[in-house]
Amino acid sequence: MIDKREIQLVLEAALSRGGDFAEIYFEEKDEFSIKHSANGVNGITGVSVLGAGVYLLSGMRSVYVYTNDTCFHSLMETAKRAAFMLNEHKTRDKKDFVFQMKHYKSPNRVQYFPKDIHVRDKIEVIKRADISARQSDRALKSLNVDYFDYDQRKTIANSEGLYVSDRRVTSRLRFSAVVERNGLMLSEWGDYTKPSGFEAFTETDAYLDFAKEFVIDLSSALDGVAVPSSTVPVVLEAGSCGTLWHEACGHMLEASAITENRSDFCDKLGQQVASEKVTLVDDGTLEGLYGSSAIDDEGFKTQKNVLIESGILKGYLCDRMGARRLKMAPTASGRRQGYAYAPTSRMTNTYLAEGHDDDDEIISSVENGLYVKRLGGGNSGRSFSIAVTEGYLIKKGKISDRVKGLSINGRGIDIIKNVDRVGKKLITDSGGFCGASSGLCQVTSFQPRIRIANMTVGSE
Amino acid sequence: MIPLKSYEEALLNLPVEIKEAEINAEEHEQVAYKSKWGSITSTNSSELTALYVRATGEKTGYAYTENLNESGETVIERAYKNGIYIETPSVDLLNDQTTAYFKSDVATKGKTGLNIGELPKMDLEIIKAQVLRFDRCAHKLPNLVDYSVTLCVDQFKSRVINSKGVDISSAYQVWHYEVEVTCEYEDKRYDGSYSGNVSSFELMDFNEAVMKAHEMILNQYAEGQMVSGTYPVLLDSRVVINILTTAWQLFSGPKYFEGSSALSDKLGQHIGASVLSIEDANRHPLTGYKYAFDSEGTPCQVHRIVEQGKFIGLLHNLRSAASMGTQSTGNAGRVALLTGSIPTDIIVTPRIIYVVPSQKSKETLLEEMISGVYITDSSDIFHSINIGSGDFSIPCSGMVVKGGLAAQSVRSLTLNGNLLDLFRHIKSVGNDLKIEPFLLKSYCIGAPSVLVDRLNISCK
Repeated sequence: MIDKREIQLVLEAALSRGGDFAEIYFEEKDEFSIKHSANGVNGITGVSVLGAGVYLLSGMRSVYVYTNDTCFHSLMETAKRAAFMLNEHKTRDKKDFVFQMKHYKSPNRVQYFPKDIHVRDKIEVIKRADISARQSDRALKSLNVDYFDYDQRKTIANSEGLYVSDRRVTSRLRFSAVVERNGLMLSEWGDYTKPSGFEAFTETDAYLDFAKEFVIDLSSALDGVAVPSSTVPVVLEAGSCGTLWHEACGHMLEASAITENRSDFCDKLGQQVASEKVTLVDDGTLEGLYGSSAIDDEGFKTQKNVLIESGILKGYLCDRMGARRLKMAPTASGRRQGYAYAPTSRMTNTYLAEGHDDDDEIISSVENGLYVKRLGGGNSGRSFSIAVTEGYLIKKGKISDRVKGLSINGRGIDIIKNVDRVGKKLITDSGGFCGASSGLCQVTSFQPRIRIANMTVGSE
Repeated sequence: MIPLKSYEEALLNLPVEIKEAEINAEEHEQVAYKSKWGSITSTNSSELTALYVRATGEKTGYAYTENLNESGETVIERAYKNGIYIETPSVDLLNDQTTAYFKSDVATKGKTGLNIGELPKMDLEIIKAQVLRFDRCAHKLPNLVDYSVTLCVDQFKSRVINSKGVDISSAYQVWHYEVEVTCEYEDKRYDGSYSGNVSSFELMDFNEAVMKAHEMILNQYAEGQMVSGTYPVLLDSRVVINILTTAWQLFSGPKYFEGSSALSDKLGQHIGASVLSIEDANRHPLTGYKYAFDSEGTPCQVHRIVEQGKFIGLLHNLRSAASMGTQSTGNAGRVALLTGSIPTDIIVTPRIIYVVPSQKSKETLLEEMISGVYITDSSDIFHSINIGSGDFSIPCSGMVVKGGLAAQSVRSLTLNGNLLDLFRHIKSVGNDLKIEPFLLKSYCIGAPSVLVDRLNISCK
């Protein structure tokens, strides 16, 4: 990587024709993956990423230019191109940046970095996971288990004198399975994710339980029944059902949606937007969670952001530019997959705070309804939809038949007004990826058990 | 042509333990301008060269790098070492000079002497002038709350070289234009969007884009109601594209072979109505995308997958074709669906896969339907279609059709059914074929509107 004096010259070049802020983002990343099927290991790939992006702001305008040629000469050209694209023809007094090195402790500590682990040990993990999954259910027709590790190092320096680095390491297994029974076939994939190094597989056998449960659950989905269209109470279990909050309102609380007037939460700060039982938080500082890191991708130290408190809208998620446009403070929410993306406002770990309602009563009080144990992926705009990966009917206060082929959808701002129970036990989730304009970012979303008073559901 | 001198030399001097090696270089340059209310708000520019390397000793291993400072010898050796641990018996097949030929008129160059087309210069002033012209078109819309227009020029260059003497290159340019609008009707805000892609800026139709985005809003605001049930349904091209974005996997050779496609064992059978034909092509006049050869250097072709309802073709790369005793169809790709890692393995992907249009206009299809539901928009195709079973449960919105005319809009609908049933119940296809690029712009999906004689819809 170029040295600090050269970085200073690059930032000066970026600001040479105007602009009030310049930043350079360096990324170096190693990824390693192993593919495994019934016949054994069938693919191994090593990935090496090196690149940098120059981000230039002038009032409400932004320019982002990136390259994977990181020599000083190329980065100077990249900075000059950014300046040219800003096209302000202003002259600027040269001002030396006095870089201040910042050190922030990552909430996710790493014991064994992936590069220090022999490939044979990684293969052994796959073999054990494969056996665990294959022995779990006779309906399994085919299974692939893939291993991924990821080691990203980034350095951010800007014209305000910030110079900060961070390292993010994750480990992941992906299970892709097909189950078949009585001529009926289902395929699905699921990720076991950890924001850590190889200790994800040495300190615990949780990944073996995940493998087993993944196949058993997919197999039991073969017995699912279609749900007649109806409007019923919906209970969403603690843990991964927090995806509801990510899709139903999280994206709509990002500055990128607010500044473009594409959110139902525009101009509603201080107003009641949800049930009084709803307190929604986004917090990138939580230890051991997939969405956590020391800094965001603009160098701000991560923080806890209360978005909705007792139903009142308290804030938005702001990256640097989003904060400028909204005349608010940045909330350390500027994120990106890597140097090939300009930062934008994104979630980290988004959760609904625990409430005071009795967890058992939340189900037992439902005469006829739907119990959602796990949600899959989803998407959103003003309206959202999320796949129900494991759901059951509730009959007379008890969980009964498994359901199939179901998604829940609606307008986020309407649904969150309809939350009439929030349980006492907050359970976290292992996390996954969120895709948006700045690429795929690691996130989690979780909650205690909740009930939505009524929602229209149906799969036939 | 992408310079690969160090790799060319390494291929000529492979160590004895490396029997074969191949480099696929992909260079992507991009310039994008975004504008609203007559001013540029953001500008992006990038240049990225990615090298995908595979090397075969006893087995085949992979490496990927964006680090242009690494020597070809080092990266090839890294790929080779990754292959040492492969357990499956086969090695990757490579094209040679007899199989990596090209008949396409997409700009290509190789040892057979075709000339590479000189790509037009990316003139920033032209791009800027065009985006401001686009801006003026959007500015004229009634009831406008907010909007933005984006113009993006992509320049793609590919090169495949290998130790069997293959050396082919291609290059092309695509112009993208996209408008997002928010309008207010009767105190409610509605969002609309439209995007197009063409091979040169003269072909962009900004007025049509703005009109279509506004049409999307008009389709939403006069809200009505309907009851759940089975209806004749007209699926807008936007919705059919959405479905095909996941459903193309039914035609993947590897999925067919491993039995994880709902169409496994059905090759040669009638799987749909006679009006349904599906084709995969290397180019099409309705898109700026052109694919001369795939990630393995196999020439891309035009071939039918479904001909008048009969399932006649699969998508293959070299490996999947060999496993089924046939030839590659030029469908080796790397990006199938969203993944948290850089996709490096050779898999099967379409190029430009589309439902073949007829001569019938959308208005004719509406008249043919007389009464039913016109589904104008859908979401979350990743999680709502199961390729193994063909079952789907797709969140969507649309309009109630009476007397051949679309009347009230209906929202929060779910389309339920099975893809094979849907194929069989197609009554007519329209002439409004639209083609859109998909993940990382690595392939395209296209479809016209499709009339289905019955589909189950659940709704509020």
